Amino acid sequence: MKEEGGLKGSSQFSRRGFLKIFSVSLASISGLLLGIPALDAIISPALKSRLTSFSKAGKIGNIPEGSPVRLTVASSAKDAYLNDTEMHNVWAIKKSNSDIEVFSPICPHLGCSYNWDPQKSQFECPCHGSVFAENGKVISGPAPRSLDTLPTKIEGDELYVEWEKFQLGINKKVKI
Amino acid sequence: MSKKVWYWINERIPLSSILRMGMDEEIPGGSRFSYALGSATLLVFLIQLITGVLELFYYAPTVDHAYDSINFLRVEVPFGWLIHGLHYWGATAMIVIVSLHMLRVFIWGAYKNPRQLTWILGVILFLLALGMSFTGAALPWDQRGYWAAQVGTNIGGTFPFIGNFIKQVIRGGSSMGQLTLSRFFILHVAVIPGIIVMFIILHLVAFRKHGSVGPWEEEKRNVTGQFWPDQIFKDVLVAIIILLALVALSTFSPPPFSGPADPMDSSYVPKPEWNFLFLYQALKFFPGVLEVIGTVGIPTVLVLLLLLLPFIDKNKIRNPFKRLIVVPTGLLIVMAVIILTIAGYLSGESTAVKQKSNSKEVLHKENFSSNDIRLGKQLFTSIGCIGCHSIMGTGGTVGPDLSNEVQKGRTKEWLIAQIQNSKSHNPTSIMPPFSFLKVAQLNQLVAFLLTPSNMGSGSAPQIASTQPSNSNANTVAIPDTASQSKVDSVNLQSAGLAASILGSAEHGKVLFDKNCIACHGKNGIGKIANPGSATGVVPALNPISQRLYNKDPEIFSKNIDIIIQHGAVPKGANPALKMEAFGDQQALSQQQISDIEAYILSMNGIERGMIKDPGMEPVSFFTLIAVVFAGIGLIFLVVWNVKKKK
Repeated sequence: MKEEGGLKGSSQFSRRGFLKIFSVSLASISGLLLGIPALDAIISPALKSRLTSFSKAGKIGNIPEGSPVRLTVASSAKDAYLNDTEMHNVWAIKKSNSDIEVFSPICPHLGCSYNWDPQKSQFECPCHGSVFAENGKVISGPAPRSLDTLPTKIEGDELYVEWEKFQLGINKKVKI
Repeated sequence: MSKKVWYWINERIPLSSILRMGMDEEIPGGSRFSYALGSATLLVFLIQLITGVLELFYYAPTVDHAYDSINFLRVEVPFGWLIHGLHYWGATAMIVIVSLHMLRVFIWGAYKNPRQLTWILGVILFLLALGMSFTGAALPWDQRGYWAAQVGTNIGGTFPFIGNFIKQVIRGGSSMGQLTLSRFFILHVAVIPGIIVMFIILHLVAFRKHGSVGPWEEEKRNVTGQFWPDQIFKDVLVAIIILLALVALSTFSPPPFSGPADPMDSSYVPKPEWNFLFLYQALKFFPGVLEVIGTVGIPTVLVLLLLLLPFIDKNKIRNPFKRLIVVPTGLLIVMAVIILTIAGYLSGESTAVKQKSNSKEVLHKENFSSNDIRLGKQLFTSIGCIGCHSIMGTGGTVGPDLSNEVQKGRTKEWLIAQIQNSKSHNPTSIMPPFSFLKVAQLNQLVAFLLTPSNMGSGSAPQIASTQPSNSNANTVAIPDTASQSKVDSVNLQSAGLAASILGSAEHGKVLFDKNCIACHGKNGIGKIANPGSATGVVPALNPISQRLYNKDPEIFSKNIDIIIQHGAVPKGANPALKMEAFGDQQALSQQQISDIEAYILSMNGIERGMIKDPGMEPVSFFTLIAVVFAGIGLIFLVVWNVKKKK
């Protein structure tokens, strides 16, 4: 592009050359100063993980002791500017009023919903036949790890559960 | 290597000759800063294009989400404040710079033969820019944009014969709604920008064909300068100044949060965008039947004058001091527009309201005798209306404020029906039926309610004296409202929709003064007695209880939202005042509650629209770019001087 300017004598050339460098560098720097924020605005929100929080799962007194029960949790996830309330079924096993274990309803193998078989006292996944014990341990089938437990919190008479999701098909429990 | 690539490209696409066409030009009279206005307009257009596309990454063009999505961008997306701020202020800069550009072309006489078409294309571009300003303002679907669009489309509706047709087509229906927003959206992001790009290309090609017009004095035309780099250098300097100014405005004067659009809220007084203010102000000179002169006549004449200018002023003289009719006339019109814009800006919100209510007052005054009004005023106090309803700032707040019944469009018949059996209008109303009133008394009461102008004087009823002594008070109703910071007595329900809406503190104050002030006091300072409650007073909101306060505006809003939505009963044996469930009873809309919450937060030093993730603090960002530009300027100044000496 430098060839385009007028080459009229040496003093003219240095003045023109100077103006060219000055204009181009100022323009590129302002492009950079505004380009970085623009990229940041598009990229960094995409890399943030969604915030979750504890939500009410029910009164502890209403949960029967012993065998697993299905509880419905309304997790209020904030999806950008949408305040979504998602309903999830979780499995809860109450051993005592202060000891309640909650399993994610998603089979860690490939993500199917498993069921509790009260006769055999075990969890069974209908998709690929994984079987889990009451404590979540794998008894048989292709499941690579135990059922995923969810964080819980007891406040007064109320059980709170935090809804989380984990990667499927791997040995370790890794939060998504 | 780079030369080889350059040749390779040019063998296939003639980039070099395209560049030469855009860059190589002799400017008669040399480069000037005043010629930079055209490229400054192009720069602002590019800023609008880029920031506009960035906004589209987050904006949702639906009436339920538009406002929240824009606020999400502004508050939670890194540099969202900058993107929105630049787009908002860029729109203003666009109109200002285009106007200056046109003014310069006008004074230089640059629209004359052979540049008529360049001028006409420019006028069309200017009108398209106004179209962008009008459609863009509505997109956040906030109070400001909603009402500006409402008024703007109504103005279109005054067009003779086809007005209503035009209005309905623009709105996508007879009333404002989702289809209106969709139409404004698609016009703003696709249709108008597409046309603008085409016209910019034509405008630039026409400009290049005949080049810069240069100075009007022959002797000054002998000197010439090159467009590249002489003029571009000046263009870049002007561009940097504009850029800095836009970032400064975005930093220090961010666009206001005017609250979500609320079609039901009659307390909001709409005003158009500043660039249409002159028209808004001019309309006031044309009442009634003449209105169409202001709404259609003036704009049409102005546009025609602009378009036809090259054909009205045809002679070859370009020196403005020798064009004794055209230049002074043009400048006079410009002055008139500027003066009307300033007058429109300064005209208080009250002017519009006053004009409206005055005309209606006259109408009603004819129907009611002053004696009826006086007796009605006495009745208002004696039968206990004042226990629940306030009027001109005095009275209870259980029921709605009755100061503006005329503005609400209430008729005599409606009010009588309401007084005798309120359930006929609203089945869930808690207002007791006043069926014992005689027809004469009803008429007196209605006369009083529909005559607000007779209110303010002397014998204004005093709530304090009527309330405790009035034995009817218990049956009629206790003036209650008030708040409560004792969370245990509050309904343990969740926060409502309002808590997640970013309200307008400014409008919240208006609503607070209407609905909350009776119990919480001016500016929420409290100290209003609440006999029978444990503390004896209504809790102050300023400062608010530490249990409700939170530095995070969203949590703070949620905390107070539960109380405003569902009400609260203060601790104590028999509190006279309790907090009404404004949300559950639908005494206030969710939008209004969000505004009041923003106001309560602001009283406690928390900004509802606080930026959560700025990317970089606005002030630091502004300082950074100011320092960078100043530094580069300094370096080049030094280099320049050193070279010059050599």
